[in-house]
Amino acid sequence: MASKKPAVSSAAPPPAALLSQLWTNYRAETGVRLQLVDAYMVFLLLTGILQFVHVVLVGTFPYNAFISGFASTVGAFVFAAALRVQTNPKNRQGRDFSPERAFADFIFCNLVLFLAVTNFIG
Amino acid sequence: MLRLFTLKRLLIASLALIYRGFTLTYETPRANADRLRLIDLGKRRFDHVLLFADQAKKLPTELNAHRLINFVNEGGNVLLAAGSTLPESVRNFATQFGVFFEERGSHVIDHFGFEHTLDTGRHTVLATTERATKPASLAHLFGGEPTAAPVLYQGIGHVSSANPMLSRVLSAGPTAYSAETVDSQVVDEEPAATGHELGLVSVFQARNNARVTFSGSRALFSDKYFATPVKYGADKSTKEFPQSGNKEFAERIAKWTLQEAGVLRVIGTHHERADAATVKRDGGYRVKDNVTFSIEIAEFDGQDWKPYNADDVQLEVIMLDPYVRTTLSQEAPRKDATSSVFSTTFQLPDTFGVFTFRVRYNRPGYSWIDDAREVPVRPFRHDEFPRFLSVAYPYYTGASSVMVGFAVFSFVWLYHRDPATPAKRK
Repeated sequence: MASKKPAVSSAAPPPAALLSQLWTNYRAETGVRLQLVDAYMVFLLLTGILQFVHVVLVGTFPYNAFISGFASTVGAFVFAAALRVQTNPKNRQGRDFSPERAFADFIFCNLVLFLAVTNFIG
Repeated sequence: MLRLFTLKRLLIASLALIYRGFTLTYETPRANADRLRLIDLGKRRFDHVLLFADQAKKLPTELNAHRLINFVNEGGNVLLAAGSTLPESVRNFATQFGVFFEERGSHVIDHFGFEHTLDTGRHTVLATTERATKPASLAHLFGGEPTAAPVLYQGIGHVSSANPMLSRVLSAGPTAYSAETVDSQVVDEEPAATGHELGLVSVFQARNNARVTFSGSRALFSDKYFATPVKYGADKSTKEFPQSGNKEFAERIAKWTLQEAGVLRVIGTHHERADAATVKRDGGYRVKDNVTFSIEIAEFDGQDWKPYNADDVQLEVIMLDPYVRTTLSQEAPRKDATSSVFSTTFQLPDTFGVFTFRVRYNRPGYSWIDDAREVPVRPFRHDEFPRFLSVAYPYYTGASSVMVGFAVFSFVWLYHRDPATPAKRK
């Protein structure tokens, strides 16, 4: 999720220092909207992992419900990643549509996904 | 009912046949041969043909192999008694059923099992006790008591193919062989068939339940053989019986061929949900329903329809493959019942589609039973099972939290304004 790595010196610093450097750079150089997308993706990741752990521990019985719940997190994660790629100013070259257009695509795709999830879950 | 006899001498007591309700018509190879029609204007004129063709060189056209097979295909029964000099057309006819008669002019010979009084020195009059012992249905219809008198036989033998519709009911003894009996009776080459592989009487039941019986001996049916006392065996171990088993055996195969024995009929089948009486529900069968199936089968004993007793009637529930195969149990017969009911209760598989409830009961000797009904089985309807289960709450929570998270994210995204770097966005 880091957008830029710091230059590594020949004498390797301790890992904790590396991580804090990484975090500081991320906070300083990543746009707020992108950080927002990142937070959303972390949330989706955790939700998906929780459901997967549950199905491993408890069993697959309402399999369609599991598939819906899990697929909703995976799908939403993919769409969020696409949004992040399309709205990152560093990826502007060769792209001729606006961040608003990217966000509209994101909304539309999510609605379609939720339609399928809602139908399949019960 | 019209019956046709083609024979040179009347051998089965025709009075007995008339008494049993048959009408007899006689034809000989020569007289009026052209007028003979087994099938006229597309309809079978006779129910049965008793063909005693042991001596005729040539049979009329109407009795050639092709016409006789047509007759069988139309449901007619044929009792064939051949002999050592059987006509070629009869040999061809038998070949079509997997019965291969031995060479013309050959006899079945048994130097250890011949009958002493009737034999002329060539040991071709056999006394055999080798009747069908298995399967049980054949033994029941054709097998005699273990102590029954031997059957006398003089004629040609045959070997038979492994056709499941063809059954051997009388075999030669272990010491018999088939060879020509000309002149000095020296057998200078290995016999084509020996011992038990040599068939004497075989029965065939076609798919349409028409019956064909093949006997290589006409004498087996003769009054002379019926009445004679039997003394047979090699010198030191002869056995004696006051009367031969021919009468009893001939009656068995004649009754079987004339559809008076071993005839089964399906009266009807019935199936319903096991709880149909208590639970009212529309829409036929549903997956995993319990179904009660019953089939009613009657057996004809020559005079009346009687309950058929068996413990091996099976039901198959088929959709390409059999999903269920279960044995039906016979219900206690009602008083004066003319049929017996076989039933069982089973659970339909957890698969929907069009199933076939099929009873295929093939026991050699008895009429083939093949009763199939197509039954649609539907899945649960949308209101016949719970939509939301408590065990699935984690997944419901997961999916809904994704949706809520999506809404919150979209809201924040839309209303967020980046004061620090406004130029970066636009």
